[in-house]
Amino acid sequence: MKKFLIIIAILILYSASFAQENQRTYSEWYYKPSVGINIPASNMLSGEITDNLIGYDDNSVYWQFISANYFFSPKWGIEFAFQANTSSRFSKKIDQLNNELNNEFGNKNYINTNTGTRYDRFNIIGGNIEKGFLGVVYRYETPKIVILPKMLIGVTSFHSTYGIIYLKEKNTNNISQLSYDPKTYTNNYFTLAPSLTFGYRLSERILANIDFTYSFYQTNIEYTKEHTNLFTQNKTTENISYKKGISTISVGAGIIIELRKVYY
Amino acid sequence: MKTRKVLFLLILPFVAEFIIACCNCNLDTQYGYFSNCNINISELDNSGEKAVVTTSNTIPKEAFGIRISIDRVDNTCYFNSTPSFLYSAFATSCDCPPEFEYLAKDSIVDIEIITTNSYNTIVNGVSTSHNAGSDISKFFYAYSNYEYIEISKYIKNMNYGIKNNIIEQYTFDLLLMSPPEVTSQHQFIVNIELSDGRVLSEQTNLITLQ
Repeated sequence: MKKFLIIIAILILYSASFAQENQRTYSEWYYKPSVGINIPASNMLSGEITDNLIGYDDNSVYWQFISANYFFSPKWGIEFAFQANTSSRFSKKIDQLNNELNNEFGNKNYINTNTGTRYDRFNIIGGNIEKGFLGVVYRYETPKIVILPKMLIGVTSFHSTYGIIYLKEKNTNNISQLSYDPKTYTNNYFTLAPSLTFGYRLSERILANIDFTYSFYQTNIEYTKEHTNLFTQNKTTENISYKKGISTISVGAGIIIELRKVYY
Repeated sequence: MKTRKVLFLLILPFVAEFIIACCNCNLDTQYGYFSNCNINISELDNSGEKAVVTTSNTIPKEAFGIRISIDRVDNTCYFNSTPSFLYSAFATSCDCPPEFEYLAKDSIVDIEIITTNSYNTIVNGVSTSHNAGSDISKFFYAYSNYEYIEISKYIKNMNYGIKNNIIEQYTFDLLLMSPPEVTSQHQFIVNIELSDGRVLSEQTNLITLQ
């Protein structure tokens, strides 16, 4: 009797293991690092001197090391991504500002420039423009291919800073002050970002992927330019608006690492 | 509850003393006096990035200024202040009073700038004429840290006490903000009137403002 029970137990376990092999699996977690470029469909910068005071560039590159998908079913999941963006132009913004001021005022004036922030300090975690996304992901999967259409919402964040420029007129005692005031220094904009990821399976748990993302947000920056003769206190004021709808197409590439498979 | 209150009241003086000790303030400020003794003046050429003293006889009229240095002498007659509640308050806030403070024995009352030649200029679009010997100090402004200050207002700054160190010279720049209409030769006399009745006087070289 004892032997019979042992044989039955072995048979049950054996058949159960076959049954698991016959069950289908899906990946519950994706870790999804990638890098890419941002191509502007509409430009925010407009060729004004104040472009150099905004920590933003229309053409930029991005990288995201903090990016993951969680699938609560074989088809549906959520995505979280934190994206850092930068551009080679950030390190040149101060020089560019001085050059443009020199071109406009340098013939008649000596120029002394003060600005709030230097954008040439590189931050590997956040870059110069930070974007955070959260959204719903649908998964279409074949043995070799994974397609992930997504609808993401998030925040695009960057800084803008002031500029105070003293213009000492050549051959006179006159000094004027030119100030550019953005009023707000940290800019956070609600962003809509539909996206599509194509993945090609390289091994059991690793896929190579390319991402296409269209993002849109409405900026609300307005600089007040004030030119004051410091002796007479006469002022001229002008507004420089950056209130625009910004559309960007991002193309990136990376890998998908499947972290956990579950049976269903 | 009552015991706690008593303990708190007993500890309070020690805590206060501890805070004061942390600040390490010397409460005995020593006061002295300084006197304004004599002045030196030099012509300024402000046509470049910054005003510089020049010995040139010709200066751009719209970039002319006068640098005035007042020699101050430490008139040593120190006396110790009596610590007051005010200075105790300074101590507890760790914003210590100065070790020394020098007060003006003879404060500046007025500054005149006399033109030795007739002086014609345009003010608010209107040509104005001033005879030789006129006070034209209203056309000069003290310039400091991107600020033009009328001489009458600037005099108040000059009479503040000096804390912690002796400044033997007080130097400031007066810029001519209403230049002569045409190129002409000028010489200016600077008179500084003091509260004790003395007048410190010096004159510029004869210069061409062009």
